[in-house]
Amino acid sequence: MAACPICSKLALPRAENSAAPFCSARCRQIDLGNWLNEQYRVPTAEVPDEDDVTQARAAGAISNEELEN
Amino acid sequence: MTNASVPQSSPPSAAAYGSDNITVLEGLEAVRKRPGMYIGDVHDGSGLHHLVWEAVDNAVDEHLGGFCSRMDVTIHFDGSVTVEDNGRGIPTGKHVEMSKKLGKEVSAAEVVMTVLHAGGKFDHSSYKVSAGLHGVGVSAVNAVSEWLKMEIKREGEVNFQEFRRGVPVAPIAIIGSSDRTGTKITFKADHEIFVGVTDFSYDILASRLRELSFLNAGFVITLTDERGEGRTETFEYQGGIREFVELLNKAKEPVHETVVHINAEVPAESGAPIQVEVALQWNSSYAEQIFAYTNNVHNKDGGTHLTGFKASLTRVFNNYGAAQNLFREVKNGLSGEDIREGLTAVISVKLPDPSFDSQTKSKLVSSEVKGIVEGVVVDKLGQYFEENPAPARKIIEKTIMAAKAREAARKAREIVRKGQMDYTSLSGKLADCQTKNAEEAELYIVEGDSAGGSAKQGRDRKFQAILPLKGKILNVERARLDKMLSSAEIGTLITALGCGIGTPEQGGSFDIEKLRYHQIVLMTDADVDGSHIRTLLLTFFYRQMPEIIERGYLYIAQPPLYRVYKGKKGLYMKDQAALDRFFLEQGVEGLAVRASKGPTLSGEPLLRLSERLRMFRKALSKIDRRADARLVAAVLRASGIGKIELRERKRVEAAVPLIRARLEKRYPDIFPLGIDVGWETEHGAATITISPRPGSNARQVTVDWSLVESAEYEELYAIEQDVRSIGPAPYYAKALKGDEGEGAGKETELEDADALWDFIDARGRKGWNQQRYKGLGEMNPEQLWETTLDPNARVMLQVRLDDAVQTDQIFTILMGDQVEPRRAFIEQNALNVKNLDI
Repeated sequence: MAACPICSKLALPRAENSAAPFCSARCRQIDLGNWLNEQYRVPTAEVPDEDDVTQARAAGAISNEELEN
Repeated sequence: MTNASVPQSSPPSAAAYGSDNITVLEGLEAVRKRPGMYIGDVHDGSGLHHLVWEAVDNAVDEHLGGFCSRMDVTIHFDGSVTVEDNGRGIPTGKHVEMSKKLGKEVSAAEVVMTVLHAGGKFDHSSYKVSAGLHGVGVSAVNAVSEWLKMEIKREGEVNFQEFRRGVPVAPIAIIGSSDRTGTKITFKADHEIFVGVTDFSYDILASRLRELSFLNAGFVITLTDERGEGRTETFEYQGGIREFVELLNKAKEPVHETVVHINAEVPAESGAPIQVEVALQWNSSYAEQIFAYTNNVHNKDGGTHLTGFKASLTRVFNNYGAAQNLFREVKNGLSGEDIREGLTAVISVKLPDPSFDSQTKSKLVSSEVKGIVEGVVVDKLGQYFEENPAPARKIIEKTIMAAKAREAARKAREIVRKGQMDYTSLSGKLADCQTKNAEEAELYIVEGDSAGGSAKQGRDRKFQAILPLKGKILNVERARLDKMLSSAEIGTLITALGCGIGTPEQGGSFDIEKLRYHQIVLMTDADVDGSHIRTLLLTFFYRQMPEIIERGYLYIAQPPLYRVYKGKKGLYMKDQAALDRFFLEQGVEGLAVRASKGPTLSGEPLLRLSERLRMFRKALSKIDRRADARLVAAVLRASGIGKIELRERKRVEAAVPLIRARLEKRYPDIFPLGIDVGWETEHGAATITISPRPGSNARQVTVDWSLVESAEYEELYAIEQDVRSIGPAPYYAKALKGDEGEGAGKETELEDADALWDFIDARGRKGWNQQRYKGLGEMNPEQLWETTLDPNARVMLQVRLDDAVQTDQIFTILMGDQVEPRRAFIEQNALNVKNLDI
């Protein structure tokens, strides 16, 4: 038994809970939203290439404030 | 049922009932001819139960007027029903208007029983509000009853009248006296009219009576069934609809502890005030349960009160959430549906002259009610939120979750739809295989475009598909860089897999039977970034498509880390351990070693000894963190000191010259050097302090109990024992066969175990070039095929569910907001990438 990755409530194992590793289908759905909204990020040591910078700019991911920092 | 035109105490008529009241009875005859029009279906039981509702409504109206506190409903053994209340009693005096019309004296009570729509309900002076119910009145009940008995206690008298199929048996008569008041009506439904369902259902009656008692706080209602074994229930809810909501939420998990209860009386344009009562509580389910009532009648299609209530919720939530800055995570705000998810609410309005869309009163249309309900709820619920921030936050958090889930479902549908519509857009990325048989089809998910390109060239296109995937780097130009899978990449992956996404019960489309590949192979670089991408992908599969892992469809490719080659001969090595082993084998191949005294070693025993020597080097490099490894090695090699020896002072003292001699021979540049032996009482052991020449490149070392009992030293000691077991140095190595300039039979003298190891290691590596693959991109298509794609040569790890659990935990740490554990974790795992190799 483990904690639901979304709400930290108890998530029953898969045998009893088709939504495992989540506590509920709802939490699984919210997790899916996090993937699709690009909210899951892991650190990287890679150096961003031109492509990444262009993409980030286009997406407005870099604000002026961040550029100043 | 006071009617202004009825004199309160005119004596009842004693005149015989004759043909002159036929006009009145014509009305009731119409009910008997077309009962469906007046009281509903006479076959399915709805009309039958309706009779009770009509009788009950008279009592409820008395309660609404504030004149009645109790009602008793009894089902008798013969199927007749009694409804008794302690209201004022139906007026029994002369009904002036009707008496004039009929030309004979008739009591108001008789008019109520025999004239359709004759109740006092159409006049607000008698009732401010009325259930105004089904519009036909109790006379309809009389019309379709085999018999009906009416007993009225009023003004000290008890009046009685009996009817048969609507026709009075005799005029109303005083039969006794009482200091109580009230009306008691007993009737037996006429089986000439009711066919099919002819028995009253206890449960139907109980549920409506319970509902009525909720809607009228403090109104005591009893239900008694005298049929069969009999039963009695009392419905009394001082808390009114608050208790109703508590009951509805009983089996559910409430989000906030107490039910919010709103009760207000608002002056209306039409004069008489409108009473608005709302009780609401959110539970953890996703269902919305809202019951709307007008004057105790359930409006199953809602109406203006419901509309007003919904509008007020949206206003309150948006005001409060915006003020508290709670909506950062939901871009498009909350929808009404999000707010009402898991909401249980009862709305009860009481007003004079409500308008409905139809005879069934399923929908309230009185327009002024919307604004009134909205105003009351915005005001009171807003106040509740302000005064109770903890439950308010919980409620709003739940609605935010609902909004996020809704948004996720929308996005997922969009991706799946886009993928279906635009399958060709995939062809630029996915190099699909020829087979359509999922069982033999393989999908390689390859990190990076260049490796993807090589894999596309190197694969067997009959059954191998390649999908290059690239993590997107974020926060460029900032100190900490993040990587993620863009939603476009995830969309491509979902489309390529073909099995949809999202739990069906949440509107998703995932169906494992549609999966296009039964071998899905993750192929990422063997560096920290590669392991992070792999962690992302594994976590995604584990969380969103665990069935794929359960069925054993997910694999991790194990491309070799090294390639060694000598001339045309080339070999791949999976990892460092395999490479070390290879060189070791090469080193002892065809070699024989003997000590100055002792047996000759070759083959497997020599390989094992070499392995131990290699371990010695490794353990030395570890101990270097504690103490200068060179000096520690010299102490051990010269003296063989371990835990036991260190506790023997004489032995230690005897060892000092040996240590000195060895150090002098090997490291003359650290001389002059001091060796001091001390004694430590705590462990009863010697301390040997070696102080090299100041300014030399060696550090001072103290060999004491704590060093000697460390895991590293213990290992060195054990290996030294093994090495000593083959005999004392020097050692002699001899190649059995001539091999590249190494003349057969020529013996090499090696002064000690270190020299022996260096000899074997150098011999093993001789002539071999080695290449370390930092990334998959460094392999050409042929190499990729040979090592990673070819089913006959490749090594793949099948991902099991418990591996995935661990991955998820790693992922959670990687993702964590807590910077410190995350940084520590990453540093640790950067040193030891192996830990991340799930």
